[in-house]
Amino acid sequence: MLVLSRKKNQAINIGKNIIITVVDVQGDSVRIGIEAPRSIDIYRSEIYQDILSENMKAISTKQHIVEMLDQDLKSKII
Amino acid sequence: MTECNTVFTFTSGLPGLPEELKEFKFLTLQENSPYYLLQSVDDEQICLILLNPFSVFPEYEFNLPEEEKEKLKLENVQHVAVFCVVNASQGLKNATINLLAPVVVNTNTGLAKQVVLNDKRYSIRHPLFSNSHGGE
Repeated sequence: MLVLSRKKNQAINIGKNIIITVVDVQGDSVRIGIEAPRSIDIYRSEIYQDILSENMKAISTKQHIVEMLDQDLKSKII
Repeated sequence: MTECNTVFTFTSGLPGLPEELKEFKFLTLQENSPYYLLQSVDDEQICLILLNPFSVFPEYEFNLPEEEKEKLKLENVQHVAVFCVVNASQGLKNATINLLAPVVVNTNTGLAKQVVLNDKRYSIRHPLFSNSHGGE
């Protein structure tokens, strides 16, 4: 990983279209401004990772899902 | 089960699923059921359960950011459909629903995306049934 030191209001260019600016530093918290094309998705990493792993857990097969929902439907009718 | 030929195209894929999987069949499972199945066209073993969130949480609402509307080429609000991914890996009784990252679909073009909301009201693992602590 490339590590660069930046001060408040200093920025980093990534390629031609992405600029990351250190907007503010308060204790151990850093506010970061990101300028990027609207086509690029920007996520807080821990939230994206959480969604990614939740989707992986949610993967199932058609057969399993159909059986589970059929069972649920039957239990409601009874 | 009624099969229909609706295919959603996730241009940027789905987080956590193989990146090359972009096209998913949208299948209705039971008539009048709020549950649907999202099945990969290229790998039929990969399925997700989708739920119409408004059937369970009628007050569910969010603002779709402009850039997401652009990515979905959404021009008309009437062409929006919203579904949420259900994790029923611990059985349906203990199922949770991802309200923070809904699947938003342009019903006119079939373009779809799992959008990550910046909304503190919603969780990635919201219990689907509030009385789901066993027993009954």
